[in-house]
Parts: sequence; C-alpha cells; structure tokens
Amino acid sequence: MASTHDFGFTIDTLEWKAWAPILDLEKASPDQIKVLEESHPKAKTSPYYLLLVQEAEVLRQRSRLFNTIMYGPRGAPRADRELAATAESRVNGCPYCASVHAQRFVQMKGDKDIMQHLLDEGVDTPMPSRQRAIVDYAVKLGATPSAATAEDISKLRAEGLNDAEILDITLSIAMFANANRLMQTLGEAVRP
Amino acid sequence: MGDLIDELMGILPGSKLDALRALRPDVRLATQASEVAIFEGESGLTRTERHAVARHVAELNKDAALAAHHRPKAGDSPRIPVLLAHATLLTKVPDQATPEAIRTLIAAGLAPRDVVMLSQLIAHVNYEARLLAGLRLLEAV
Repeated sequence: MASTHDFGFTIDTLEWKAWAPILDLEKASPDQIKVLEESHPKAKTSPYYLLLVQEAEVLRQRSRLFNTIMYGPRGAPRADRELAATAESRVNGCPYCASVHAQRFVQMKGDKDIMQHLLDEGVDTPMPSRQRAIVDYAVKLGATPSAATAEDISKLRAEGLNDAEILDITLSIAMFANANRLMQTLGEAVRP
Repeated sequence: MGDLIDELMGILPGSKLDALRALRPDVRLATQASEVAIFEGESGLTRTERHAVARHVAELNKDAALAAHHRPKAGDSPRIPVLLAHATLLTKVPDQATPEAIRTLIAAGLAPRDVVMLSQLIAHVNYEARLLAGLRLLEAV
C-alpha cells in the first residue's frame, strides 16, 4: 500500500496540495480574514489555511495553540522544540511538516548535519546524547502516548532539561501529533 | 482558568503541575477554547457524533480518562462507522491516507466544512492524549 513516506524527506521548501475544496479568498468573511491573519503570515495564499479556515473558530484556537507552543518565549530552546517536531514528522511520514521544521531547526542554530542525517536515514541515525534524548521521547510519545516512560523523562533531566523545558518538548510533540495528521490526510506534499 | 486537561488530571491550584502549566497560559486558554469550538460549535456533525469520534480516538490512544469524558455524550448514527473508520486511519496510520478517504466522507453526506471539523477533532484529541501522557510522567517522577 502506498505511504506518504514514499515521497521522501528533504530540507528543501515544498508545496502542499489540498484534497478537499478550499475557501475562495474573495468569499471570505471579515472574521475568516482575521483568523487567517492571526494564523500565519502567508495564510491568505496557503491552500492548507484556506481549507482549515472553513471552520474559522476552530482554526483560530488551533493557531493560538500552535503559535504559543512553537514560538512562545522562554522555556525549551526553540531548536529543541523544532527537533522534536521534525523527528515525529519523520516517523509519521509527513514530508511537508518535516521540511518546514527542519528549516526552522537550522534557523534556530540547530546543527544542520544532524538534521540532514535524520531526514535521510531516519530517527535512529547517530546523534549527540542531548538530541538523542529529545528524539527518543518524541518518537515514543508521538507513536503511542503510553510508550513513553519515566526513563525517557530521566534521560532528558540527565541532559540538563528542567521540567518546564520537558513540558515544552511534550507540547511540541503533542502539537505535531495534531499537525501531522491534518497535513497528511487533507492533502499532500508536492515539489515546487 | 483551567482546561479539560487540568480537570482530567485533577491538577489543583498550587500543585507542581499547576505551576508548570501556568508558564504557558495560552496553552490552557486555547486548549479549552478548542474544546468549545470543536464540541459545541455549529456543525453538520451532530454533537453525539463528535463525542463518539473523540471517545474512539481516546480509546485508540489507550487514554481511559479521556475516553470516559466523552462516553456519556457519545451517540450512534447511521454514518458513525464511516466516521470512526476515518478516525482510526488518521490516528493509527496517517501515512496511509488518500483522497479516496475524503471522497468516502463526502459520499456519507459530509460537507467540505464537516470534513475539516472531523479532521480537526481527531487531530485535537490526538494532541490531548499526548499532553496527558507527558503530564502523567512529569507528575510521577
């Protein structure tokens, strides 16, 4: 059976094509325009957001959640949040999500070689112990929540992460359980 | 203000988890506002259908507390099997999704907007199941 893994994984910019009808921006209500503007700088030209904004209030709250989890100040370094998000996207098979968040990881001073290996070879590729602890937790909690254990938390603490930072990583993993499922099942990645 | 996560976990004001969660107040606000928008908003999906799908996603994630929250409000309908099958696909094997799966929903009478609501609902409960699991680990150790 075909799988979204088959597309392959890249750090290069991808596009996304919707499988369901999207909103015609000309017909958007003032509230829908507002939600798009709150969601993402390019939402008004994004098929993904034009699809989701058909349920405007649901998208408004989801964008608020996404933006505070991924971009909120303090707490876990943003590169760590992006690493967790990308690792989960790699395992779930969301090439679009993986490319966007691999780029953000590098922008946030994450090591590009680590990311390239993760995309090319998968989440088991060798990496330093701090990144290993984050990726292992993301893979387990992302796949089956009950698969993550106290040992995963202990390893993160041993790498110097405090509980506020571990909660931030947890939130990123939880958010990408959400994001991967929307991106993978309402449309597909396409090469520009 | 607390959210469904606080309620299901029994997180009390002044507790360790309360202090940790207070560092990201927008998470609580937006999680609860998402609950209201998804389960109480106007939709072509009935409320009992929405709760039935949520209960199913919680069960697939083996989250007994989350499933128990939705169970009393869940109900049956002729298209429930189609909705639950879609929830299983998205939750367990999202990489196997196809445009055909969406056509099946449309054929069962869902408008495009209802497909968005159903997808957001399934994605949201998957988010909650992971947040709950992570918080339980942080509480225990």
